[in-house]
This record gives sequence, C-alpha cells and structure tokens, in this order.
Amino acid sequence: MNDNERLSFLQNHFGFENFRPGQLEVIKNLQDHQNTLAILPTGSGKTLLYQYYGLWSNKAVVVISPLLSLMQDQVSRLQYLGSKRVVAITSQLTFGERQYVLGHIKHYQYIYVSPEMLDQEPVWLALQQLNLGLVVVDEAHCLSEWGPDFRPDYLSIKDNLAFLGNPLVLMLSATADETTRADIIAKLGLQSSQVSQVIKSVDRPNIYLTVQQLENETDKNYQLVELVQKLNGTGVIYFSSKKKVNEISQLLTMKTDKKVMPYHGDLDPSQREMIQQQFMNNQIDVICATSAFGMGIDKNDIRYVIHYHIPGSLQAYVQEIGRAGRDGDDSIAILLYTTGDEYISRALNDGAYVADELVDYYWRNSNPDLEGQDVRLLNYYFTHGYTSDQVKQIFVQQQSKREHNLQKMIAYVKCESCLRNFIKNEFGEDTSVSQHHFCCDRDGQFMGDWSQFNAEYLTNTTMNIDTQNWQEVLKHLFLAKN
Amino acid sequence: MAPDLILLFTNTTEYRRPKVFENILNGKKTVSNLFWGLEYGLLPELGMLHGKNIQIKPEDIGNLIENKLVVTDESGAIKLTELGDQKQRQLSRLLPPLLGDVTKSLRVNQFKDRFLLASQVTSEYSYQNTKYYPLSIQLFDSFVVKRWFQVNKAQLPTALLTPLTQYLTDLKPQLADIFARELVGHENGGQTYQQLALELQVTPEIVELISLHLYTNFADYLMNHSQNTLQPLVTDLWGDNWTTSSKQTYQLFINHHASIEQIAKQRQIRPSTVREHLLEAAIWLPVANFPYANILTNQNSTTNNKEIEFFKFRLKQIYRSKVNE
Repeated sequence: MNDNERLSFLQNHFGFENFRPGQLEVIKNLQDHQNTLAILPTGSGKTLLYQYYGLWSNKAVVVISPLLSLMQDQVSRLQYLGSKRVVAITSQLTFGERQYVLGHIKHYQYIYVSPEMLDQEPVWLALQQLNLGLVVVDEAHCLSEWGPDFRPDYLSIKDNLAFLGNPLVLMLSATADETTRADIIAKLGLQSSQVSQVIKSVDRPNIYLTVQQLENETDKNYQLVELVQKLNGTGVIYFSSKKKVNEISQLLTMKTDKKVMPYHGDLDPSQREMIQQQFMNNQIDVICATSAFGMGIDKNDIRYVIHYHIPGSLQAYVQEIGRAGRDGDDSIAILLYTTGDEYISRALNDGAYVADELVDYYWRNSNPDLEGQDVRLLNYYFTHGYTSDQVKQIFVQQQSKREHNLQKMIAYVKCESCLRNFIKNEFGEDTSVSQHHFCCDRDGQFMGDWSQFNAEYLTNTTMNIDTQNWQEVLKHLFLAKN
Repeated sequence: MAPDLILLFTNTTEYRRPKVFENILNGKKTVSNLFWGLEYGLLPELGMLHGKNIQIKPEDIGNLIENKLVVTDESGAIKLTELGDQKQRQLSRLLPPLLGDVTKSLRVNQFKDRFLLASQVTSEYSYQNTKYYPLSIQLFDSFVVKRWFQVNKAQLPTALLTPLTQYLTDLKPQLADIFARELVGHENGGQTYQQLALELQVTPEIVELISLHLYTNFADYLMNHSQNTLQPLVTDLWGDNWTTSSKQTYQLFINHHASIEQIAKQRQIRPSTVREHLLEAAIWLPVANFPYANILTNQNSTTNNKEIEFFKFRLKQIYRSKVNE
C-alpha cells in the first residue's frame, strides 16, 4: 500500500478527508509489522488507528484499557462508527454473558479488556483462539511507576502478551516524556530498537490558553456566571469535588439561562448515559464534572473548558483541556485560580498516600480484610515479593512526585510569559517556533475584552429545544413512514 | 433512602417501621417482611428498587422529624403528622398505582433498559441513520433487542408506536409526558430523573419511582394485549413472588391433607419451616382460597407451644389484613 492508497482507504471507509497528525505514520508502522509507541494528544483520533488496522488486516484487535467507563465509551464509539463486532469483557458482564463472549470470541473483531481481566486464564485462553492482528495498550503511561496514573495491573501485560504469541503491539498515550516512554517499552518486555516511536506535540494550536486569578470564591463564582452566560458554544467545567460540582451546577442553573448539568461518579450509570446523550445532541450547554467525565466521549464542538480547581498535574490539565475543539475550530481553556486552591489538590494527594501504618498492617496480616483502591496496589506489591520497607519507599516517592506535579501546575498559573511555551517546555518540546496569533492570554486578547474575543473566535452552537408533551416527543422521535 | 420516599410509605394512623420499607423495596422476601409489607399495603412495591441496595439512614428520618413531617415512637417507628400527611398526598397524587397481579414479580429495570434501547434503535431506523451511540445495557438484554428488531424491522416504527401510543393515551398527561421524555432517540437524549424532578418540583427519587411504576404497568399492558409486537421484550422477565418451596408445601397441605409434621418429614424440613411456608401461602393467596378456619381450629401443640401460638396469631393477622384490603 502506498500513501495515496492509504488515503483513499481512509476516505472510502471512514469518510475523513485527511489523516490527522501522526495517524499516517502509525498506520504505516503497523502495516510494516513494527511495534509502535504513539504519543498523540487527546482528540487526535486514536480509535481510528486500530479501526483502520482492523479493517485493513481483517484480523482481531485486543485493546487493553484501564477504566470501565473508558471502555464503555470506546465500545459506543466503535458502534457509532459502524463496527458491530465489538465487546468489552468487564465485571459488568454477568457470569453467563462472560461465558458466552469467551465461547464465541471469534465472533468479535474488537475486544476491550482491563489488564486484570486479561490476566485471568479463561480470558487469555479464549483470546489465544483469535486470529489476532494487534494488541493495543491504551493509556500506556499506566505502566510507569513514575507517572501519576501508575497501575500495577499493567505490569502483568508483558506475560500475557507472551501467552498471546507476542503479537504486534501499539502503545498509546497522550502524555509521556522520554523516561516514561523508555519505561513503557521496558515494562512490556520489548526492546527499544524494536519499537517505532511516533511522538506528536501535546500542543493544540486551536485552543487559546488563559489563566484568571481571582481574589476569593465569591469573585470566582461571579466571573464563572458571566462566562457561562455569555460564552458562545457548549462547554465543560472541571472541579476537584463532587460537592462543588453539584453546588456550582445549581448556581449556574439559577443565575444563567443556560442548561447546566452535573456529572460525576455518584450518578447512576443510566443517568450518566442520558447526560452524555443529551450533551452529544446539543441539549445541554454546560457540563459540570469531576475529571471522570468524558474520558472517551467524542463531542467535536466543545468550545470551552473551564477549570474551577487546578488539577494535580500539567499532564491532567492538558488531557482535560484537550476535550475542546476537536473539530479544529477555535476554542478556549480557562483556568480560574484563587490563592489556596492548591490545598484541595494537596488534600487529594494526601488522601492518595498510603500511610506507613497501613503498609505494616498489611504486611503483618497475610489475608487482611481490607477494601479500596489502596489494597489493589498493596496486594500487587505483596504478591510480587516487595518488602514493606520497599513499598513504603515507593509511596513516599510517589507522594513527592505528586507534590512536584502540583508545584508545576502552580507555576503554570503564576507564569508571566507564554503559557503555551511553558507547557511545551514541560513536555520537552521545541519552543523555538512560537504561535503569535491566537495563543494565550499573555497577548491580552481575552483578558482585554473577552466579549470581543468571544464574538470573533467562538462560534455558537444551535441548541436543540426540548419538545414538550408526549405526542410531540413521539412525533419527533419516530419519523413515520410516508 | 430519600426522605420523600420514606414519607410516601408512612401513614397517619399507625406507627410503621422504616426498615420494612427498605426491605420491601430491595425485594427481601422473608415471611416477616412479607407480612409487614401486607400490613402496610406495600406488597406491590416488592423489589421495585431491587439491585439499588437502598438503605435508610438515621439522618433521613432525622430530616423528616426536623421538618415536622413525622413523629417517632420509642422503637423508632414513624407516623405522619398533619403536615406530613399533606405532603404525602401531594406526592401520592403523582405516583401511578400499580395495576398488576401482586403475586407476580417483574425485573422492571431490565425491561426499561430493553425498551429504551428498542425505541432508540427504532427511532434511528426511522430516520435511516446508522451513526449513533447505542445505549449500553447488559449484553444478553441487547441480544433480545437485536433479535426483536430483526424480526419486526419491516413494520417499524408503527409496530412500536402503536402499542406505546395506546398505553400513553390512557395515562394522565403528566405521566405520559414523563414516560416519553425519558426516551432516547434520533438527536434526542432522554431526560434524567433530576431534570424531570426540577420541573415537577419533587426529588429525583420520586421521579424514579414514578418511572418504574409506569414501566411495570406498561409491561402488564403488553402482556394483556397479546397482538402487540413488544411482548417479546418482556415475556421472560416475569417471576413468581410466591416461592416454589412454599408452593410445594402448600400443595401437599391442600391436596393430600397432610399434617404439618407429615409434610416436614416428607420434605425433610423443620415443622417451623412448614409453618413459614403456610404463612407465605396465606399472604399470596386470595383470602377465600386459603383454609384459615381449618388450620386455626385443628392445630395442636405437640412441640413448641410458643412457636405455634405465634403461627396462629400471625395467621389471624394475615386474615384480618386481607379482609380489610
């Protein structure tokens, strides 16, 4: 296949005019049977990569993913794009359903699994029966202890790849510096020389960056109300606590005429799904969310992402603002900061820290009856022969890494020069070529007169009005045959 | 559990134990619980919130007391105040009564999931659109919908619209609106409980209960109108509240005139279990069909006096409850 043929294939089968940055390279590598590590920013069409490969090779693709919600969103997305033979093997399946899926595994072309699930014998035994073309390790940075999202379950992927006959591997991540990338490759048992790297900038040129420092919460809320009332298009606002999500969601509903909905883990999954559907259908103007929202959601035309609280790291920030402007049109990322906001993040970090006493307790009791996130981590270290001292050391290091990340985030907020360059610098990217037009608020465009900025850059979205009575609803829902 | 929900099940004349509400909604089928469900007139709600693991916390009751909606006795049982009664009437007015056979159980959440997906698929099909995000429901349920769609494709959307419209036409308009607005379809996400609650000025939990009642009644409607094409979406979701074991005991009792001790021996269970089975049978059967008089006059105490006395007492209570239903 030459590049023209590749492009035609894209146009004919996926309806896109062109490849996005990085996609062609990755696809070429895969077609040459090269293991590939791709660092592509959020919104660059990662799903397309393996969908393309699947369609071209006509072989099965196994995608390893860390989160249930992420997997469900991606299954939905593949279904949206027309793939019918997609399944996620998760704890959501009943026993009978799982048996069915494993027993009919060849029926599926795209199979999503968590690393824990992949580690189970019945699962990899079933997967061995596939005509397997590619294994995708999504969110590959979870392999690295140095990243903020380390998941020990990811470390078992290496052995399971061997069980699957050492297939072609595609590692995906939105953020990973050089050390992390080397770590990812090593932790999968691969040789650096055997892995092609495709690294694209985390920079999203169509997202304008701005930070606004407010005196106190009252001012922040006032500013937020103004922004939401007046900004064109739909948006997402990120918070660090569910309580705040609910509180501000209500405030915005009262004080603006926009449709605002809260979104967080306490909501029923079916209710969360309704909110996603409404958002996709332009029936909601603004989603107030904890970072759990929209991990895989594909709304193209989010015009603004506002952070009410600073996130714990620049990596998280970049990923979250990456939801905006997937259609390539101008968008904006606004961070609202009040002195002391970092204490919330710090408290969250402290909450994540596993105390020495807990480690000791765990190591003393061979089968402690404990629950929670921490226990999985402790469990992993324990069963892999770590001493309690080693584990305590790891936690101390991770805690200090988290503090370091937070400091970086605060430095971004306080940065007095180009915000875009600050980010590029952090990710080890070339800052020599700078963007002059539509970059960040050091040029004063937004802070100056944001209503003008708004009118000039942000296009409005036509909202779908709610129909009222049931007869009208049914009439709109079901187009009667003529 | 939301205070409003607790309020719905409380009443003005007797003190009621909130734990019963919890057990009923969660579908806990101990005889004691079924009995109290019967006493409080709440049996139709059995298992309505199955799977949600509803729990009543002290602050929920505290909230009702603070707002002067209920009073409590030493045992923690609650009763409505006049203010509470008014509020409860408001809420009850919104809630559609459950119309079906109380002895039948329905996996209503599964039916709702299936129907929502079926209408979404039908809606998109009627617009000839294949690019949409299908609702994610349990795998096997999605198979049921897929099969249903393939079989009925040629007659859609009419085959779905007709029974749905007929059902909604007979409802109070406000309820029909709630039902319709939860539907997901072409360029239309369904409304959440929270959104509907805001409009109706009640709490989301009340909207959820309303919705589940509407779906339960809809399922009943579909079973009673056999010419409709939607029935396959619900036929396998019905069950019997009356447990098989209790039924077996009852059959032996009624058909073979076996004594409690004889049944116990034959089935290799305890006589106290046999009595539990009979109590359960009495709860589920119409009052005229259960031999109350027979049992109450014939019981002799050969083993545990207290237990048999309690059994007779309970049976009388059940009788009284059913006669007053």
